[in-house]
Amino acid sequence: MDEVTVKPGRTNRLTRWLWKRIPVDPELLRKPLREPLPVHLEGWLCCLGGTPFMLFCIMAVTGILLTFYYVPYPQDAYNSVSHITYSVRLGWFIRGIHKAAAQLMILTVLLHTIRVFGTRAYRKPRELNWVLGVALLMTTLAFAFTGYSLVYDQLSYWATVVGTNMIGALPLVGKPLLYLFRGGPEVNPNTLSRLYDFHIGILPTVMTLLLIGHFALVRLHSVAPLEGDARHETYPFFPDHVLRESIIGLLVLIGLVNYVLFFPPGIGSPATPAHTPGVIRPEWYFFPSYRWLKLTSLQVGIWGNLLFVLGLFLWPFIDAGFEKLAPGRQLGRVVGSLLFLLTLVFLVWEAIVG
Amino acid sequence: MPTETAASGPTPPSHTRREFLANVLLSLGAACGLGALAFRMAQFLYPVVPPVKRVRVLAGKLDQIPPEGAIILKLALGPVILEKVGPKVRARSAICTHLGCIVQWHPEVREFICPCHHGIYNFNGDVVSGPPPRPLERFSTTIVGENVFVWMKSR
Repeated sequence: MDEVTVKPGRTNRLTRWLWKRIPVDPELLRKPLREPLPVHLEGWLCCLGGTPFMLFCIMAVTGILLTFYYVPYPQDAYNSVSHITYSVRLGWFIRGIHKAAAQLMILTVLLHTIRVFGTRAYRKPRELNWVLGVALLMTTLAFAFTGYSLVYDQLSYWATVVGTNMIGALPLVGKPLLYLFRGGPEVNPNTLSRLYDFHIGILPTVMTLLLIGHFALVRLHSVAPLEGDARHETYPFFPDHVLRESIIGLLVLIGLVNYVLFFPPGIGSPATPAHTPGVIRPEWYFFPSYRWLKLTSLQVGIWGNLLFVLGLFLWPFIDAGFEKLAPGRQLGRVVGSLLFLLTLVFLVWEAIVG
Repeated sequence: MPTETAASGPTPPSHTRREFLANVLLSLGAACGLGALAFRMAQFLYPVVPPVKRVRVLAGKLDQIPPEGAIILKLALGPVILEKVGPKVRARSAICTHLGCIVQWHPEVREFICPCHHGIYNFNGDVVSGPPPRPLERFSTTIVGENVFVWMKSR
């Protein structure tokens, strides 16, 4: 491209300077902003997709700040987290935001998944985007698991032992995968390094690639129409939808900051490999899996979890199968809702009974 | 590739086949190259695992073990349960066979209970309830005078 055609009278010298050196077609930038969105997206329920992305950006920033003080070696890990929380200027705040944003991110990803499930936005030709979405959900949970393990207090250490032992319980591939993940047969200093590598290197890369794919597919297909909604009106992405998402983003920030001010982060007792604490539980988002493991034998417990995740990935195809089996009877929605209810029951059961 | 005018026929099949073969060979080559790279990277990441050997570890003294009960000792190679059964001393691993947490001795019910997923073992180390798949692992013991030695696995 030799010369970008610039609209006369609407540009200043700086803009012309930039356009000579970065010769991008301005229409290429303006087109995505003008994207027409169907009016059913004006409901607040449909703004749930952008929120986890905003929270991911907050996590990335606070996470990078935390890496300036965190030391990924067993004895020093706990001390460095303690140092961040109690000594570093505003360390409690940065760590608090990171922890609270993590919880909120998982919640909003789950709500977004439930919304997409409820509105059946995964139907043909958007099945692959659902698969990418579930992959994003799993990556988020992997972030939570690896991040939680880095604190190296009692709960953190034993969560690592149990979580990695679950991998080890798989037939054939279990032991090699376990050794690969742990960096040895037992939890050792290499395990912490590997968890750290996953948390700050591998998972952010995977997450970024998945996000690019997810956004690209949403744009390529345009937003899924809502079943039963005959309205054809649209409204522009910019400024209307962006404004709505910005308001949500601001509310999220206000909520996070206030939460951290009233409930600053703490730290448990240091990891003791020789003693499992009497009261031990994973975080709430692993409660359904935890309850299932308590109720069933080891292999059924692990395979049950794996099959559930596989079913989640393949849901659009399973739903299409149900539709073929009983056209118009919404069998997929019924089965899916029942499974969702069961997961909720396990979650509440574990939360209340323990 | 020969130039063709609008009046000439479709591309001769030999060219298409050649292109296809060239693509296949290139793909195979790329797959072999990337496969070899991935294999070497996996080799790098896989940890060096020393072989297991049996070692004799001094666990404690005979009088540390309560007469009708059990004691859990946290040794360097892992937690161990010691019990007196007549003149003999029985040793078992205190690591739950479900997912690796350390069990706790509850003398009031004479059971070992795992706090993680509520696996329950009886005094003999057999699974009574909960998800553990196997009884607690047994270790051999040797008594020399007042000292109790346990044979454990080490790397």
